[in-house]
Amino acid sequence: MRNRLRELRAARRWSQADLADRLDVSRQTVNAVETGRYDPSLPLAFKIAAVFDQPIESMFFPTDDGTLPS
Amino acid sequence: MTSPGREHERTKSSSDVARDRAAFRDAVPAIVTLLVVQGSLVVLDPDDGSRVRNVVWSLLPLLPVLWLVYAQLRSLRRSDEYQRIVQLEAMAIGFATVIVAALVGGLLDAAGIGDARQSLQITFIAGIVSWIAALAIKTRRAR
Repeated sequence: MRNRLRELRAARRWSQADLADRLDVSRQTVNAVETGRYDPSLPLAFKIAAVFDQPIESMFFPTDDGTLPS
Repeated sequence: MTSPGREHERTKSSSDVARDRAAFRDAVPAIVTLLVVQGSLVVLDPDDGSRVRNVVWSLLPLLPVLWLVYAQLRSLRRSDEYQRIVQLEAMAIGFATVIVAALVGGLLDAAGIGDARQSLQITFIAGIVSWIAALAIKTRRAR
């Protein structure tokens, strides 16, 4: 699954640790989601969308081959 | 706020710091107790021929070890969803190592090679080391 986390975070000039504070998760978790190594749970995805004030479908997308998150 | 270009300045979020402190507070008393108990076993040398007393003394380190297990469980519960997966994968690797090492030790013992007591100690150490190594590698990858 792809996401726009890094792009939106950079636009707000937040560090990964800043975003992690807002989401109440570890910085490593933010890093893993940003780099696509980890697909967040639905509750965390909604929390991320709420922090950026964006609809969830505008933040997370299926990968190019159309596969859904694992 | 820190800019994205200066991310390396802060490698931990507030929840990371809180979790680390809580894990430290949980684990340190158990580790100190374990060291004291182990040390007292060596210093006092309680082997006086009484079987019951020897069994009690021998199993005494189990108490701080169970305390450590409880501390680890609490740490796991405090982890967020990604950390929990990383921790459980590392534990699975440690568990697999213990199973394989125990099997090898058992087979060698059956063939009359080696000492079962030493095999048990090696199995224990190998399990812990592989668990910690897997956790370190997986955590490092996420930096």
